[in-house]
Amino acid sequence: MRALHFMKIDYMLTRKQIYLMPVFFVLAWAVGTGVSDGAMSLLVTCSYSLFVASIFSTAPFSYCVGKNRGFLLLLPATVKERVAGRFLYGLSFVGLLGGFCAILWGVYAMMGYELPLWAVALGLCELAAGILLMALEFLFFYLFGEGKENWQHLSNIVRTAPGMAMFFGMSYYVGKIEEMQSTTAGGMGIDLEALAGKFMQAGVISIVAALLLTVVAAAVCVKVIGNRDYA
Amino acid sequence: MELLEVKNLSKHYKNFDLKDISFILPKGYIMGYVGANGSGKTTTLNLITGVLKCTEGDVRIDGLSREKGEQVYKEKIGYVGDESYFPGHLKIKHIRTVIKNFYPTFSEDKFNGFIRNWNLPENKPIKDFSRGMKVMLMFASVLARDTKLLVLDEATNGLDPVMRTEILKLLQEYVMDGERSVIFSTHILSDLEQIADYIYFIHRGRTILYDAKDELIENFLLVKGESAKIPPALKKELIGLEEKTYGFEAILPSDKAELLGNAFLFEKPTIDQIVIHYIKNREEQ
Repeated sequence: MRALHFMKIDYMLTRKQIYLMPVFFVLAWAVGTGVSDGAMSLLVTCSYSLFVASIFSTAPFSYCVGKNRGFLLLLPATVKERVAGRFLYGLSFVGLLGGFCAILWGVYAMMGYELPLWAVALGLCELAAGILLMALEFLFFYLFGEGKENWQHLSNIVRTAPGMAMFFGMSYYVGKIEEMQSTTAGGMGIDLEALAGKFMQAGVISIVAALLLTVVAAAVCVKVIGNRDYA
Repeated sequence: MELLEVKNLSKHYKNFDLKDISFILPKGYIMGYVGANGSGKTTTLNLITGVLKCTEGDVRIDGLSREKGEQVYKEKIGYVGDESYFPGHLKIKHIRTVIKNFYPTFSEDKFNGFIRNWNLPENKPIKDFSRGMKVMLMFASVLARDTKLLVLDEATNGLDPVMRTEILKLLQEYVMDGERSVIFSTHILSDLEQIADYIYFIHRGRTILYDAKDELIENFLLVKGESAKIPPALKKELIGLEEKTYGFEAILPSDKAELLGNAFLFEKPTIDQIVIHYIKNREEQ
């Protein structure tokens, strides 16, 4: 229960950026439609949204630094509950943008766009990558940077670089997938729909694996910072 | 019955050691925790609140150590620091929500009463509060719930006399029921004269003095006179001998009063004077 309260505090601390999320999502959609169309544009939109999520989900780490550290540390709770609350915030934040993407998929489906199952599965893989990225960033911040005031530059790199790499990586692979499907000259003409079942399995497994790794990352954080000062 | 027990508390840093801090604070009393800048006051208080982890030693509040029950232990503590620990962009309504969620004994009516009485602005971000307002908000947040121990770290520094007087009154009311206690670090030793029952004095991480305030004042004499007239036997016993334009001034243990003869003036010292002369003595050593 206290972990949930800590999650609420993180939302309270970062409430201004939450208000900006719909704007970023619209921007992500614009980027997606600019790069491709149909299901491919949705995949780019998702990867851009998760890139944004990977940056913004780490924001609470920069609010309780220096003299503000006492705000969370003095609250009657254990390290485990505090860390769990932070990870719940991260997960729910990534989930929130994942939810926006799911709604957009629904809207596209209702508008009559063809949305193949393998593309949905790739969307799940992207979500898994977003969760994993968040967990690794949180792990980094807890182990090396929590509460430190003079980490601005390094923390900015940790926040943006992996998400950016994921976004550009996904955009590159979306292009590759389009090539693989193409039956025109130079294309491979692979029927991805025939592999949709396997893709779907991979998508679900990657989500489960990402969630399990997030739990492991949280446990490592608790173990390592448990006996640390200001933790 | 003791409320706070600190036993052989030590904290090792690269450039500083807090060593073997031990004391007992009974229920219903106020302890002044004094020392120069960098003497280890904040470190001790942070060890008591559990924000820092000790290298050795043990802290118990009402018989409970942090390791045995972190949540209950922390619920018993109300901490007010010299700087606000509330993130500056939050407002009073956010602080209210957080405290309400975490402390079952939090009284919203009481909290709102403090906010009204002290004219704290509900709709301003905390970063726009004056220093006094920030301190009062911290007090409102701890006094609106059922704590057993107030830990104050230089909380009255920089406040105007009216506010300081109000806080000192609040602290006296706080311990009045005989069940709660206050540990209070400050540079303003006149505040301690008014309200402290015990004085714990540390210097460079080591205990210098620890006693009931009245005992401490009784146990020392402030001696003044001409330096040239100090006999060697007396000089050995004087603490923090300081040359002034009119002669010397030092502290002497009361049980050595017979060494004074008729050549010197003496009087009861203030806590301030005891502390200053002890620090001078240590610096010379």
